[in-house]
Amino acid sequence: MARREKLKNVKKPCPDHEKCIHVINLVIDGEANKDEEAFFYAHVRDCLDCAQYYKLEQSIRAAIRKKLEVKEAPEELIVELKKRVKDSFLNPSDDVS
Amino acid sequence: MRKRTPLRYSPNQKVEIFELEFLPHIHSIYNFAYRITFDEDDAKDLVQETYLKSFRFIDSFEKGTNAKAWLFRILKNSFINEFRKKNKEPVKIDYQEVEAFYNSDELNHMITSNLQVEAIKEMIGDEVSIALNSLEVDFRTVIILCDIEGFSYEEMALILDVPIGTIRSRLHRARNLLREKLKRYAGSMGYK
Ligand SMILES: [Zn+2]
Repeated sequence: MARREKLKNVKKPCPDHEKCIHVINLVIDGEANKDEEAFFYAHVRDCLDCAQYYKLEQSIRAAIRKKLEVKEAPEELIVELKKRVKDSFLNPSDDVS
Repeated sequence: MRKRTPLRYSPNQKVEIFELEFLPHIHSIYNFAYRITFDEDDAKDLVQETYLKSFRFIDSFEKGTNAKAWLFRILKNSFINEFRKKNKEPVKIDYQEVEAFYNSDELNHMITSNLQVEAIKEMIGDEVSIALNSLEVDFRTVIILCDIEGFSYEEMALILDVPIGTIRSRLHRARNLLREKLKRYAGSMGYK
């Protein structure tokens, strides 16, 4: 609650949103270095633009991870591959390809 | 994969590496193949080729290292060498849209409301899928490798054989495009 109040009070536009976008994505991807992380924690919680951008990007990542149907390899493909690999030893002259 | 290395593994070791280190990734590999080809038969062909190549080149694979990245790299090469050559790539390259996007005032788009976050949370898989699938294949690829498969930027650079800076900029563009597509979707659903 207090946090929401705080965000509402921050009406100033982000001073360097391009840079922030870059850093926010690095942080979400787990690729930020120490300086970038420090900048992120110092800035994002006080900047409405950045906080919103952060939330939006996170929700998109979550949607990509959780909502897409995951296609599984057909069982017969796995069986076929195992067979071809093993066969290549019985007939070493045959290339597996 | 490029250099010929002397035979290191016995036949039994090869089968063991194949089954214990390569096959466990087959669902990820297949899922990725499907997401770049949109076709189950093509995905099957690509996966088959990837795995047969992985076996043929198994001596250049260091046991116990990053098999998943190694396999994705073979898959990506197979896709470029054979698949694209056959002109089967079904997605139009949307460079015009990319251009238009960069000529627009990007900053204005960034002022997002929490309603958009809500809209995305309520989206169903098909909607997310359509947005992702509408991205040009290079952009789709980095999103999948990063967000679904959890590869680091460094691993992605290895898989795609491009500098890490290219990964960063490609991801940045891909995310901008995807975000705009999803926001447009959210807008059409009545969220503003
Ligand atoms: Zn900011």
